[in-house]
Amino acid sequence: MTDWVFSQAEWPQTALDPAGPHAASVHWLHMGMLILMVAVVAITMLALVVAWFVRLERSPVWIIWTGGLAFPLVVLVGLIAVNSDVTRAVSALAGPDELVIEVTGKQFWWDVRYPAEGGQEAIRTANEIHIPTGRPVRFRLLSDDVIHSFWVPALGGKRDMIPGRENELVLVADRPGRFRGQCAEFCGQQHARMALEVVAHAPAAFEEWRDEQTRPRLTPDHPQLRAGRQAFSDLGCAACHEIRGVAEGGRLGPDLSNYGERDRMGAGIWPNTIGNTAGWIVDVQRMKPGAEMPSYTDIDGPTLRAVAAYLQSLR
Amino acid sequence: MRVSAAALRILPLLLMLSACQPEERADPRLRIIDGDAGHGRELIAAYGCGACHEIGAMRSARGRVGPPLTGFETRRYIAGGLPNTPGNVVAFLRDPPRFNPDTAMPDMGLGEPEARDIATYLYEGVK
Repeated sequence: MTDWVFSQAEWPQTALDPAGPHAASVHWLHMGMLILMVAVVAITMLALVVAWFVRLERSPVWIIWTGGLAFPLVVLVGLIAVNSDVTRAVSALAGPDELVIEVTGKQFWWDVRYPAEGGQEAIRTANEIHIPTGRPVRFRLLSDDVIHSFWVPALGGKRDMIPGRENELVLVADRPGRFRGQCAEFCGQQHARMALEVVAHAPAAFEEWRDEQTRPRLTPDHPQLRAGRQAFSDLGCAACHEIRGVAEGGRLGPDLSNYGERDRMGAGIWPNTIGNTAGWIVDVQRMKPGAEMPSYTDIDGPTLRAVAAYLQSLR
Repeated sequence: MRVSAAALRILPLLLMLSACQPEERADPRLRIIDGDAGHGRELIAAYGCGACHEIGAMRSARGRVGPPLTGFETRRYIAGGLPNTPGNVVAFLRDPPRFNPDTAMPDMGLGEPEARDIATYLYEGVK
């Protein structure tokens, strides 16, 4: 409908090209209100112009009754009704076959867990959330440190993540694609660099992705990658980062099991390349000052290249 | 011959305009045939060179991990001891560890045309 103006392909974080029923209801409510407001302003301006040129002996009282009382009353009551209807519609998206995903906001990234369900193992990932299309996804939203807000405009509205309580948001993607999201509640120094990507797949492709995640990460028989894996242990990366089948138990930082597959790094900000990865390890505090990870300043060149290559190989 | 007052007033302006010529002409030895500096700039952003290098004209490139690349066309050597020629720069970009086994700069997997465009931007675009 609005493809010609703000298509999601060109603007990955648009609310004006909805990719799901939640976003669509909000979008039509917004467009309707926008048109209505423009009309009200236009009529008011017109009335001012008329008042300027037309001098009447006595102003007709009916204008005041209709324009000043009846019209706003009808419009506002109508808006309340439509608004309630939209609210009801977006909260009724849940279904029996819904997928539960637990997202925990952190300074400054997103910890993503898929609880075990229907014979499927639990998996953990970060910053890039994969979902199936056409199936309601119940996001259980938590926070570890401060208030964050989960917001993927192309799929729906915002929901705060508050330490000590659990909020829920049900979203449905009705087409495959990549939808960018952003933390929408000021959470500290790197609030602006706390983005995420939601990747919607056709159901079969999603199941394939999910199966893929449960495999332990075997290191290919390549000297540089083996050296990188060794350095990952030696440098103590595993204290914070998990890699399935290689280093488990580190929960302070993002899970890196499928790091090499992710489109972006640094919580949805930089293109995920070996260059950005190497630069991040050595000087994360310059790329993202205030992130929890320290800059590792005493890694020699070949080791740095090996770690970066190893991380890129995780897929 | 009389010069009109208007021409006299315009003369200093013309002189000022002629002073706006580039101060130093690009070194012809640093020309890369068919190199596309604009595309080079896009590639620099896409590969994330700015995570490690400071590149004056790019607001997003403020890295301090490796050497700054501002004024690159005036450098005599790259990578410590490699003469700064287009051929060397392109070859280095395609496989840095080949020229310096101790380098921290990873092999980005750049293709020949990509490396040429990036080198063109480094020579022409970084001011």
